[in-house]
Amino acid sequence: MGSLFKPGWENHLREWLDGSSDFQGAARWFDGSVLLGMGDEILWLKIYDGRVIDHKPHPTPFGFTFALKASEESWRALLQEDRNEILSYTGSKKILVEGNLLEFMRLTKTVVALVDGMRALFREPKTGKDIR
Amino acid sequence: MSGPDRPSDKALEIHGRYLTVDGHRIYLDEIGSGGRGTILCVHTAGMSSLEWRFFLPYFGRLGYRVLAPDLPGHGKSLLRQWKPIESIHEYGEILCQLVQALNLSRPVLAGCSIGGDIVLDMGAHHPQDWAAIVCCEAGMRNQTFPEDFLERGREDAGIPGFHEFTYYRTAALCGRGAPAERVREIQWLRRRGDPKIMIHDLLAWNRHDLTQLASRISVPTVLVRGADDSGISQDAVEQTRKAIPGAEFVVLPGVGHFPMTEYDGFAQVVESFLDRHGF
Repeated sequence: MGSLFKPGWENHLREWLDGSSDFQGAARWFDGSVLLGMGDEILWLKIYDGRVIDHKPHPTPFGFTFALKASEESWRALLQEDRNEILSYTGSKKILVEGNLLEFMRLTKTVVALVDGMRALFREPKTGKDIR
Repeated sequence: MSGPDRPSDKALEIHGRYLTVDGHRIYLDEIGSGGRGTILCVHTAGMSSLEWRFFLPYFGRLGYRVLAPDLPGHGKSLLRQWKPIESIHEYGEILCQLVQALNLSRPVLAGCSIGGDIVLDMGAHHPQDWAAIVCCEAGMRNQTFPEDFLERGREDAGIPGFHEFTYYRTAALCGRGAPAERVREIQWLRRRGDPKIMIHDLLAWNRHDLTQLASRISVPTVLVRGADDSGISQDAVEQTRKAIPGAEFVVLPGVGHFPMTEYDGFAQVVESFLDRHGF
């Protein structure tokens, strides 16, 4: 995903989320997809029963349940924060939420856990061990 | 916490009580005898008197009587007419009734967030009734939230998962200097409230507008803002300071939206303000 992450990071993100009890617990009650738009780069995640069961580096014909979109600079700023500030960023529209906003609200804990994983991989590209 | 000695008798422990105000049951926490005066503390949106549990003992030991009520529909206070209130001024008038019921004489009013809005509103409408005002994380005009977002919250289906959202959003509202245990306590406090009450409080916050009346506040006033508070801007508080004759403005580094719970030094900030004004 651009210069924010190393190639293949999406596989590490799936592994990280597979090991996150917060993500698995909250996303257990979700059957949908989340699109991450970081500048020109995209990661589409299909989530079901607490796990990411598929991902693509492009939009799919299925669309998405909700998307988090911002410039690469905004994502970098978020990932460099000393704590997870995703709700501050979405609240201030530094990161835009598109699609089903009700599902976005319902999945707050899932989104926070997803960004926890991204933050971990931003700091430790292979494992994200440092903040797990 | 530095400062006065630890309490040595039962009189310096927080105790709770109920009283009936205008036919409605109100709960409040209370401490101290009041030899140096009385402080009335007003909590933030959706919360309760528990937010002030670190502040009360400090001023109780200094010789103040300190009271922290639960606003109607919050904590242990019953809802009036079983309808949430969404007016800062209406909350303020209920506080005035409480002051009368308790026969208090010109207490210091302290409040945070919507509590800050309420004490400013009361300062403008009844300036003769208060000895001083301590307004935290609030101003004469806020409008933090998109109105359509709050309107959706009138129904649970409009903002599903609001408790979870509040829980995580609260962490982001706390300052970076807040101890982790305090952040967890504030998150828990915010999560245990009725989401309907919270939404109506936030509607009241959003619609609060004292721009035409703030200059009527004629008692010593201090505005306090945590530098990390994303709930209200520095500029909004600065504009409020300019509008209130003689108002002071204190900024607390590393503190967020809940100074009385996040930061023990907050009590000393208030003590210093009261000392400067001869209390």
